Amino acid sequence: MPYDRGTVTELLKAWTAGDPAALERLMTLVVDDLRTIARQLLRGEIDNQTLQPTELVNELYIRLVGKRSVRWENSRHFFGEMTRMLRRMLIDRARNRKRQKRGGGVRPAPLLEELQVPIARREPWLEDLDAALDALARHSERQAEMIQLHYFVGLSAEEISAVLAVSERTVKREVSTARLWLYREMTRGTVSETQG
Amino acid sequence: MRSAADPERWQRIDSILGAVLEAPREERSDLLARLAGDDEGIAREIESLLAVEAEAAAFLAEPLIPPEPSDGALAGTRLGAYRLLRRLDRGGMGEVYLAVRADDFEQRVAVKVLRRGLEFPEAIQRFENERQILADLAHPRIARLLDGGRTERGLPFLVLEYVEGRPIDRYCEQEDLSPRARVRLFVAVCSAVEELHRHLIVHRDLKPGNVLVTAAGEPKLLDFGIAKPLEPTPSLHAGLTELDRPSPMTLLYASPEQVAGAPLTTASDVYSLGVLLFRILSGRLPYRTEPSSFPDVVRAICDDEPLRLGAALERSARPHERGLIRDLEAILGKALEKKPEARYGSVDTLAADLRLLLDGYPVAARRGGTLYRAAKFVRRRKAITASLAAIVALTAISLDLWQRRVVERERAEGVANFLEQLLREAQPKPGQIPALRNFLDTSRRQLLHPILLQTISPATRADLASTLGQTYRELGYPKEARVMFACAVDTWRTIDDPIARERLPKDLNNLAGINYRLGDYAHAEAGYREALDLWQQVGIPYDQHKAILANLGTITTSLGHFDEAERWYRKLLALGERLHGPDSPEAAQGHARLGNVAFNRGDLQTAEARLRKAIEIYRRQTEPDTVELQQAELYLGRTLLAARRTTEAETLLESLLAARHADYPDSTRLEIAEVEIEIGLAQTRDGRAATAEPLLRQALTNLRARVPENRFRLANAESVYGECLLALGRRAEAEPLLRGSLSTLAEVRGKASIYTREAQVRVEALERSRPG
Repeated sequence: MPYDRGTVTELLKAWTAGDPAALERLMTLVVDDLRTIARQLLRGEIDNQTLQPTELVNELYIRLVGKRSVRWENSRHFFGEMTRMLRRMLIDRARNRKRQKRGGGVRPAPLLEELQVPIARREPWLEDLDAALDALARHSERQAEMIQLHYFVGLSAEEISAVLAVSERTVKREVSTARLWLYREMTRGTVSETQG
Repeated sequence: MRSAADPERWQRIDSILGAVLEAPREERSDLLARLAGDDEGIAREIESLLAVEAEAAAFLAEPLIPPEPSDGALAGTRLGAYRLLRRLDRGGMGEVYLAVRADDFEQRVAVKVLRRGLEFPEAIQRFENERQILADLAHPRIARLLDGGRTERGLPFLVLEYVEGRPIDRYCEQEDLSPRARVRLFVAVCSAVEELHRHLIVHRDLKPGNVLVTAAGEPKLLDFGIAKPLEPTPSLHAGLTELDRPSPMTLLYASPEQVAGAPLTTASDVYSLGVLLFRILSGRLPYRTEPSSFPDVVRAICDDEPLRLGAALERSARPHERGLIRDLEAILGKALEKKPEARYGSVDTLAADLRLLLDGYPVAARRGGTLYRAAKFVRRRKAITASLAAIVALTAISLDLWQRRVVERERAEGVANFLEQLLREAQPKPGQIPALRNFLDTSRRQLLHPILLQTISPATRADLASTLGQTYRELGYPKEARVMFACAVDTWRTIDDPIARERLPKDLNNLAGINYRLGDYAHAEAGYREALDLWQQVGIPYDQHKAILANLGTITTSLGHFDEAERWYRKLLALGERLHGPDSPEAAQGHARLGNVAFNRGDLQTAEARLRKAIEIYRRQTEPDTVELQQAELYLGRTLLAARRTTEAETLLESLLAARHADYPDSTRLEIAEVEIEIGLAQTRDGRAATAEPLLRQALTNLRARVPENRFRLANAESVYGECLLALGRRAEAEPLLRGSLSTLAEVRGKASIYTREAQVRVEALERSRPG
């Protein structure tokens, strides 16, 4: 069913106006769509190269990244771009709010029923995570991709294996190692500070 | 500090760590020792990672957004008076369940609920609007809206007629219907889609799965893909930036504009219906090969010519069917045109043609075929293509009218003849442009004709006015273009809907551009500003943004409003830097323009700095834009001259002149003359007025021939020439030139402009040289 363009526009407006709940809604929608696509991939309902972004995903991508009608080469490319977009949405938002709330603590966002922990509460360390992910990508781009698919998009190991065309075992292993590495980096404070 | 990324080392660590993590705890240290060997560094690294394993157990273990409950979570629950059985479909806005009335298990319905994540006021409001729209639809061939309600949590849901039947393609196959019977069935579907369009809804997802045929042979259109309201009547070049990408499986029925993510109109449904018709007639899709990858699909839909029906039919046509097939091919060809405006104007006309076919009459598509194929061949001249677009647009309307009035048919014929004649020539002869112009003028009058006003909607009228405006502009009739754009703008203003809101800034931009060309700077500026304001509300495409900022800067500079010009150019620079980086040609353009403004207001230091910066960036490009680079160099030359650094200026300008001579073999061109003027000035100030005089005289002559209406350029050139003459002692000749040019420059550029001030300086020199 096609989206009403107004919905997305409303959400984007609300989000840029400072409503953190709007971000969560947007991300929920996008992530749901991406998961559906991943599931279809896994079940063989669509194949690696006939991927088509949903309208919402497409619209957000165009608005946030500014490209029109990108042609995806395969699922890895597609998911890579989408995850980059998601990540950027989160980080930009976190940075903006940090700038706005210089001095005070971060105000927790109102809870939505389904979301147990509002994204906003996690914001303080999202920037560190962002930097750590960049560092991880320098070591192993694939691990960075996997962990992002796991964390930002919420794909299962099976789904990630379908998207990236690797074995499930590889996915599990690499996600575990990446998590350890990221954790160590972030808690040791050896990740260089991102420019504020 | 952590060592820099060393991929090999990391890979080793990675594989060892992976293996160790997989091993049972008791075996880990041994395994590690074995695998790491004597590389202590690696062993320590891995140990430190293992050390945080317990702490990190929860870290990133769960995704940021928890996964949704399993498919069809609502199945088995009760919603108002209904019990949901199982999920039928899941889409963008919600889910659809098969349900029964709790008090009457016999009656089966489909229930649509709002999707998780969309439970907030605006989305709920839209869901309600959808209900409103669907409630107005009462057509036997559309699945009806039966009921609606709210869940306990206050979310709306819709209850729809549950249709049991087979997808239309399978139905036709299994019932082995004759071609005529299939067409009849299809025409019934058309009436349903037309009903949607009458209610200003574009389906956007027409495919066999959405067209079920009941056991009784009645087709029903499902609304699962529906609910995209389109406020005004469908326009031919809809400007709304709809982002409509169908779900992966329905790509095969999508129109080219859907695939490309371009604006959609009801013409998109016409296309999808065309694909559907092809499918039910031949059992396959109108694409050459079954596309298996995404790029293939896109290419098949957007670029490849669709298959001819005759080629796709498996069994060979019996003789009496060949005529039928040819007509069907013509109809399909028109429905499957790549350009929306070339297709049937409405589903109704498509159905009408099919009915004519069934009743044995000649179909309009055959005649239209010449017109549209003709339009396809003419790509060469932009002007012709633009005017053909206008002609095609108008003809599309007349062809629609043709169905109902014979009188219009004659007009359509006239146009077809005209076009065929036009195309028979290899190139249009000079005399034919007036003929085209006559046609355009006739069209323009018709556009304002009351009958046509009744026939077409304001949106279509505005749209056509815009197209005609562009046509006039391409053909070089700016005044008429202005009238048309003004009409378009005025009309868009009266329409309050998203399409008009998208188009208004575009045509304001067009109008402003024409006003600028005609020298009406005040209106141009106002137009650009309004366009910019409006555009920024809906989201302005980068190219337009860049162009408007640059234009506003130029206009305000010309008007002498230097502060404003600077503001605009600073925005331009910021835009260029932000999107392309500080060393990009786009940023250079910003610098160069700021340099121009600074020069204009006499701030030579800033001007020089900015222009040099721009030049530096341009020179560093692998493929420098020589036009922009040379412009910057020219302005730098002028700046240096104004600063009386004559020698430097002359060197720079000489090399620029050489470059220009290389680019423009015709030395009477403006581009050469404008550099010669500056060089002449440099020579004069260097004491070589005698050398300068013939150069300047010739350059001035060339300018007068090339740009006679450009008072500024001519006045400036005359002022410079006057300075030269004065230096040669030819005071009497110099005087009128100097005085005249000063007054013109003061009028055209304002007193504060550097051109005016230099002219003033020259007049003062003239006065000082008064004999006696």
